[in-house]
Amino acid sequence: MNEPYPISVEDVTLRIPVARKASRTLASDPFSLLAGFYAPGKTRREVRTLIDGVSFKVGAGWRLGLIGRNGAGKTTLLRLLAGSFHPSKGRIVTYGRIQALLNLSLGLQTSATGLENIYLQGLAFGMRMDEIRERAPDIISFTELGDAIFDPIQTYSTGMRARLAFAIATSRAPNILLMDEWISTGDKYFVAKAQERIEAQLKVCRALVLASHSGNILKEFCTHGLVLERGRVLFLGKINDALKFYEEMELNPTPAAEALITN
Amino acid sequence: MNQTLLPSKNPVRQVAENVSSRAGLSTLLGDFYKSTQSSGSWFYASWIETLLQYRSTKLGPLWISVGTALFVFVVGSLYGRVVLSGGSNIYLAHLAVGLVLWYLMQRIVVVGCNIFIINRSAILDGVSSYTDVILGLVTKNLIILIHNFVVIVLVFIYIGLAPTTTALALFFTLPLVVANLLWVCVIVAVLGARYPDFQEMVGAVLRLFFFLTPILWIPHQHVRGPFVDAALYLNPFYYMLEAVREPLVYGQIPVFEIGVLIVALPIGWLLASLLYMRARNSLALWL
Repeated sequence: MNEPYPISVEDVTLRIPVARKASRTLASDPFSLLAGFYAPGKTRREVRTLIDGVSFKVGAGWRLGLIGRNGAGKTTLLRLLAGSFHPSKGRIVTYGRIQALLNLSLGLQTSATGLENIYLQGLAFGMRMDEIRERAPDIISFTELGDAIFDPIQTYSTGMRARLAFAIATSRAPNILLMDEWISTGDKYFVAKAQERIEAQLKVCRALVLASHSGNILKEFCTHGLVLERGRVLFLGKINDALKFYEEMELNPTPAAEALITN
Repeated sequence: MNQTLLPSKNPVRQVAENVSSRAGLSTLLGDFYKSTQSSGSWFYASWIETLLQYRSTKLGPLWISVGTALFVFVVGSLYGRVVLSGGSNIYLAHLAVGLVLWYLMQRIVVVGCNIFIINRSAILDGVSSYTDVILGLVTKNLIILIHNFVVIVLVFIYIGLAPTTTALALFFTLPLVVANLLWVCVIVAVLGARYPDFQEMVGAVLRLFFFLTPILWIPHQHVRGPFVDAALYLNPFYYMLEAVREPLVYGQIPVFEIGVLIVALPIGWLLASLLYMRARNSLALWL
């Protein structure tokens, strides 16, 4: 096992500046909304810490589930891994080609047809034209859209879009695949199909990081789980243990977890 | 299935140490280079986008040319009589080239202010890079330029004006203008992402510049004076416009104007690189 860790996150912190309106609020002063248009007033600049000193390593072949409440920092962490956010402190070292599938609408041109989107997305993911042409039949058969592939995306259902986006993104196995919640929008059949595909690609796709609320999805896709709370890692371990930890934390926060959260 | 399992060519990507050490002066050029390597996704995307806009129309993208032609022939016929008091036909060509180039410059600068915000989700999801969307914008406007070029050709035929060999200078001056517009676009895009007021400001100022730049009027010798000269020589759009229009319409090589553009190129790219270096790592947070 001298293979390098596909992802190692070393003491990463992300702070963002936020501008806050000073005291006047809509509730205390109903006219503030109107007044605010013309005289925005003083704003206080604050620094909010979204990710706070996070360190972990993802081993080869791991499929890591990010678990946490809304606002715990799951999407932010995925964006850091995808490279669209840069850590304020610390560093992220990744090995291999990263494919981020953070958003269902990602780059899909709603007025373009499914087939056109295969080309558009494929190019955006760094494939060459001939490569896409070669893979298009494969992608179309995975989506099971049939003739709907010639219809504009705006006529598609959420599930159809999910299938298309997933099929394009995974048509060339990435080394690291990052996925956000949206996977849970697919039906059982799609989830099973997606899972099969990821299993098949595991030789190349050495790491999967998936954020989800659904315990079932996490259990089906992931081997390991990472519990996040307010930008900190509370737990990293086997998926079942992580889910158990999360459930317990939800029910009665242990003093240790509580201490971490309040600090 | 076999080729899908090939390991990627470039297995190591380091996302590095520290904010300050990560972006350098060469980051902008490096990012542009990476964008050109990604097999022209922005090129195809902007092509498709242009076509999609006109998909259900009969004329398709030719509507671009129709709009410009209408403006040039109607406004040109009227203003040509007023501005030149019944003067020569050259006004039509002057206006056509001026307008077509103005569309290019104006759209790149105005939309450029907003370009990161328009493409917010693609950028945040790691689909497009900053330089991808900038190149996409410029490509889209070059596609529009090609469609508008038809109008220029029509005008030249209509007034019976044959371009001289000086028109060959366009092969140099047009890329020079576009190279300058690229750094301008980087600067306005970063400032527009940081300051929400910036686009409004630029929009207001550019409306003014449409009239300050010699598009509708011709800077004849007898109207020259300090005020008119200021509208020319303190006006960045004048140089870009003149570098293309002089060789094409008037058969002269505007050496001074081209010289200014050549000097502006490294200075502008340096400024853009400095700004991009400072802003790049926090850009995503402003969107």
